[in-house]
Amino acid sequence: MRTVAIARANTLPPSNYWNRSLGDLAIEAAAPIVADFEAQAVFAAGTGASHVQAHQADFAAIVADRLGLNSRISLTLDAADVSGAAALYTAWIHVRHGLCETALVVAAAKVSDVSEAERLALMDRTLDQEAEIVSGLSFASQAGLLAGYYCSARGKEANAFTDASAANYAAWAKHCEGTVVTGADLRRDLVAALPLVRTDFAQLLDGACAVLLTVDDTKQPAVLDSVATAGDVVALWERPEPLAFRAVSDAAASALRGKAMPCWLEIDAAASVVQVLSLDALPKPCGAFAMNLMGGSQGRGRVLGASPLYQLADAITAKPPCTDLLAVSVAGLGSRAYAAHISRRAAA
Amino acid sequence: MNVVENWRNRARALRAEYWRCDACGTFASVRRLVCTHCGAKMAKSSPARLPKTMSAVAFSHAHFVVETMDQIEGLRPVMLMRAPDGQLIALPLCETDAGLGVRLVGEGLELVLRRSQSDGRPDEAITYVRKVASSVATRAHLKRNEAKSR
Repeated sequence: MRTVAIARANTLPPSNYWNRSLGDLAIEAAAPIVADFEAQAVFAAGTGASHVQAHQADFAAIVADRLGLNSRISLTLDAADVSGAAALYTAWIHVRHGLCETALVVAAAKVSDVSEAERLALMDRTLDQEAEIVSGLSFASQAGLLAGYYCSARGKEANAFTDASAANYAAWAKHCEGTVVTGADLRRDLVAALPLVRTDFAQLLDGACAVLLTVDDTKQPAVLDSVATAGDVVALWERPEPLAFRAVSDAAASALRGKAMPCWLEIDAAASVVQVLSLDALPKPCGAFAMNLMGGSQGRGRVLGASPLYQLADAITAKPPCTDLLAVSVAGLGSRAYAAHISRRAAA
Repeated sequence: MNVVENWRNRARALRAEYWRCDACGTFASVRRLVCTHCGAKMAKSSPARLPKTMSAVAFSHAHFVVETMDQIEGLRPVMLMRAPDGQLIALPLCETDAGLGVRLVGEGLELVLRRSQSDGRPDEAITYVRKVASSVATRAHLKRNEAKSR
């Protein structure tokens, strides 16, 4: 099996791109990295909330068409907020097993066409529709219940969640020279799902990210050592232990393959309670570790489905103090997790 | 909402039945081949009624925040319940009890059938879901405590 390298990555900063469509965003992110590099396969994930996008199938074919790529393989992956991670996993397997030499992974989201309530409702797609939605349970309300149950079972205060969000904001503020907010500041935000406040839910924004994977020739800036995935019971309260995010611990163990926990950790989660529980489920690194150095989804905003690729791009573009990274992407309330282990070359 | 889908969901809500593992007694809201708790095969398991009364463990809700006016709308209260055998089950809470909120935690709540808070059009079929509600005795007991604390 071949070693897979991350050749290039390009992101559009998460924002409200009022004047661009989902296709426009994907092309804008992918065009610079395929300009002088032939992608033999395209793996794409697109989240569009508008009427036009709701009727669009096979987003990968759209991306390949608009980029002018005659790729033999074009696959569309839809796994709600971990769609980008699912696309990355599939691309990694294709390159690793010699099914193609280069693979373009593109994930984009266009949510600014809809209201804030409808954006939050997009997260309901991660739930078991028959078990949870039909019973009248939404993503947000269950995140609130999970937070309340965590506090009572572990003897914690709800400040633990806002402190986690504040740490992400601080990391993002440091990166873009913005204003630092404290956990106490965030605690005063509007209550969205008791005991969680609005800032406990990552803000959903438009954006796109493209990553090019190739067979490693030792000239590339980073190596994608492994990508692994694991699942759990989708319906949160039908798990034997709802506070133990088994999918996260299993995916991380598979990705690390017996290696020590890296000192740089990225966690992509839709809500602070999911991030806190995911961190609890991961093995602890030997020494000090840095988490979400560029703010993660909670800090800079979340591009639904594409955020796992943003984490990967961070590994290439950021100036990190360490070369070893574990990027964990958690679906919904922990029903599935993807973990990617990345080694960045010292010379990069 | 599709009429056929509505009838299917209504029948399920009216019966208040979950699938139950014969080996460990765990309830499952959807049909599975394997029990999520003990791993026993559930292919031949049969539906069973949820307990009529359960104990409230945690309260929450999800509402829409109207960004520019600091307003909320569509409060959808939910309650995490503990069945007599210890299993956790999340269910919507009746809107009439939403004001009691966290004060209901620790109390025994009853399983009831109520209209769902769907945002459907007026010409759509009315949907029903199972919710939990406080009994008259519980409400009176909480009111008495409130009066005493004043």
